Amino acid sequence: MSSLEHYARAFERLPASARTDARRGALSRLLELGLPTTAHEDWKYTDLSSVHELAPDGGDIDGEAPARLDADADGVDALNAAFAGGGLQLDVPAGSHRAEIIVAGGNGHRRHHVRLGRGAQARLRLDVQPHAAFQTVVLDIELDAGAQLTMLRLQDAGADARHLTRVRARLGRDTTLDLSTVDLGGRLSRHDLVVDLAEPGAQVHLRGLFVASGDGHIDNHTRFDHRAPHGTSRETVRGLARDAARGVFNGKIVVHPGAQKTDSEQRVANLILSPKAEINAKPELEIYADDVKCAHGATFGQLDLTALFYLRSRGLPEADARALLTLAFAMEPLRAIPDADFRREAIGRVSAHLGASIEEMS
Amino acid sequence: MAATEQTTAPSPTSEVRDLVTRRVAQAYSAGFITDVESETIPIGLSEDVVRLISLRKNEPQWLLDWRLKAYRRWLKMDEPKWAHVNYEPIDYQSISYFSAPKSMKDRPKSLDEVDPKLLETYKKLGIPLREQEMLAGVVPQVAVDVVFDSVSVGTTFRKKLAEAGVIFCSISEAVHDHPEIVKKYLGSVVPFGDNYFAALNSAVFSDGSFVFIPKGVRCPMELSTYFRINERNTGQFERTLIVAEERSHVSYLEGCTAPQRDENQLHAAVVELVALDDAEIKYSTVQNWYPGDENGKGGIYNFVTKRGDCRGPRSKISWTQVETGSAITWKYPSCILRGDDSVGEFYSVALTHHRQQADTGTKMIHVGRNTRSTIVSKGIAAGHGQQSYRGLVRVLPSAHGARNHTQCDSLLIGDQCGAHTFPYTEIRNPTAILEHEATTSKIGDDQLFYCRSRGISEEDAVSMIVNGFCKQVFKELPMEFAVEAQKLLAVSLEGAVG
Repeated sequence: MSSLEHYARAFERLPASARTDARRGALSRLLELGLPTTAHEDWKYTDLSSVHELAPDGGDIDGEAPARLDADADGVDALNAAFAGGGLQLDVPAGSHRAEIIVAGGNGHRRHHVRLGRGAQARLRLDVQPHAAFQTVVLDIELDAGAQLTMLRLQDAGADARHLTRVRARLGRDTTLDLSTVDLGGRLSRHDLVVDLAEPGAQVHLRGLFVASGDGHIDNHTRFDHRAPHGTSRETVRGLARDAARGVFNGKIVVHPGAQKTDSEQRVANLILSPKAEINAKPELEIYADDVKCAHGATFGQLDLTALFYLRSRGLPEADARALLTLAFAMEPLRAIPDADFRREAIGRVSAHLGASIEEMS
Repeated sequence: MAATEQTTAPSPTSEVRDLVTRRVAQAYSAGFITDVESETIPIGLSEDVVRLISLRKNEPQWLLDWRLKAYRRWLKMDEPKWAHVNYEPIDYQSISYFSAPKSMKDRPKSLDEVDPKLLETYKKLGIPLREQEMLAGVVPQVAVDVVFDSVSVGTTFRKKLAEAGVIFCSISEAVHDHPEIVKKYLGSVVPFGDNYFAALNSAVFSDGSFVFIPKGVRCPMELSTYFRINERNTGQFERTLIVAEERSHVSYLEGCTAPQRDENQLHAAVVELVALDDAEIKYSTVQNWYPGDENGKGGIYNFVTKRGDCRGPRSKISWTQVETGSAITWKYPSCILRGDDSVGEFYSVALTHHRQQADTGTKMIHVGRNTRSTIVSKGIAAGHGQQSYRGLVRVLPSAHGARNHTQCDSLLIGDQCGAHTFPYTEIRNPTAILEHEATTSKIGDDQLFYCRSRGISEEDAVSMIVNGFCKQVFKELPMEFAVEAQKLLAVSLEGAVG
């Protein structure tokens, strides 16, 4: 396909040391697959045509990044593997507790790898470049038995930024992955979260919030694979769309054969604030075991008119009352963020976006 | 295929499972073959076949043209792959697209002239065709249209219905007797190029029912159609069209069975409903096509497009389905809520057992203001059955004040089956209010224990729990059908618990 040639040309512009066999393999994969289109079920609501033409900039690629490509890798994986520079390579030894927040960030396409040894604990923050014309970030997480990772992610990018973020985690026995993720900006922001609860007793908790504004497009795809017994997953997601923005949430829970005693709950609530805004949500369940507790709920609604009336009767102007109720709706997942500094920052940014002041909330 | 035998000591759960497995293993009672001489056209599909079907049915030119357009479109389309089902690719050239009992060739004038063997078939299936019996109160009064392979065998109570102004006949007759209505509405809800199977159906559709309820008429009795596939290597392509004019009301039922055979047979139907201002259509289905044996051999591929169009304000379309048959089901009865204040409903019980796979659900497209929809879906998976709910609720910017409530519950019986939920929501109006809930459960040991301690046998307890699970849907069915559905579910589940 001629439209993909710019990838090949961009690849030849990389420094010679970066054009490794692994990267070349990823490039040929990319040339074969191309980026996904809306004909792919997982990309039904997110159109990548605005980034198809962009030649990846591999300016500061340094040395060898671990370009591992799975058999089921798609065009995004391949693009990242071919062009990503190295990122955070974190290996927390068994039993070690890291109290400080470790940041994974950087410009251009990035690939991070985090591994926590047996019983290790760490806090990680994943950042994207706020003004990237097009950035892909892939983070692979491996948790050994008993490890606990808290991951924080706050995306408040500029109105023209385009990001594809992909987080993949493999959870060992009795591990806990605690995720807080907030999406506020960007022209196009896609976040894929794939968690593999591979061994018994693994837990994943996700708190998610997105506020899509302007003509932005925010897409969150989560997939939790319960492959072993006694796994727990909790998902609380709130979505807001304003102006002419579009929000997408797709949450998939797969309970594989034999993953008995799985306990999974997914709660998604959405609020559309303008006649031109749109939200598409799909909470999916795929269940192949019978002794499980799986529930999901999704709602769409408008602000509670009774609550609005109450606030106005107390003398709040309508605009303030609306902002307050909207913020209250958005607060649900934020409230329980485990890291106090991050929680304050997230609430501050969300209120700035919603034009409400937090003093009234606290 | 991995063996599923349990080697550990049987727990109460596995005992129950065995019990249900035993019960489900019972023979499919509608699986017999009627030995009638049939005229079946050679297998294969081409423009000539489309022309032949049209010629055989003595159709006007406009309909042939429409079929050909559909056929040409179909050639350019790809079979959809998104459904959560697995099956061997269908060889469309190995199917015969038209089959009719020979005795039907010179159209019997009334049911009394129909080949007794055909009538015997329906008697065996328990379908009442004798108006006298019904009038005598032996069986409930329902007007029936019976379709055998590709032709309608006859329709009862036509006179009584005609007095009320209701037209109820096969679609082939309607093409001749009421061409203006058919021409106006055929393909207006499901266009010929809507999807792969709808295009195929539009090209080769054989028979189905036609219902027309004029302004202000409340149809005096339930209407029903009974579909039967009999011939080997044939496909059935029914086409049903129901039009309810202003302020009219109709309740329509549909039932289906097929003989027990080792090879798969294709059933690709299209059903179109049109409800004008203040009209109401209630459409109920009890689908019991042959599901294949416990190893997944044979059975019907049921690929159906059903759609209702609430065209007028305050109109209402309600779908109720009980799906226990078919090897593969691919079916999404939908409502387009165009008229302001129109209402769409979907109530479904789907059961998959052995190797059955079902991907079924609904679409509610909210276009008009203050439109409301309700979705209640109950999926039961047993054995190696795979059960998926796939639904779409779309609220367009024009649908101010739209309201939807969706509830999908799955019941898993055994640890080798699967229950899946794929609910799509696409909301483009800030005033829309939607709720979607889904739960997954199994028949609890404690529930069973409680029932047993009260002296209820395990089998009855299971059947009671399953019926309780489905009650919300069964109560939407017309009474005789509800009883039928409960029985059917009990039989289909025989031997499944776990």
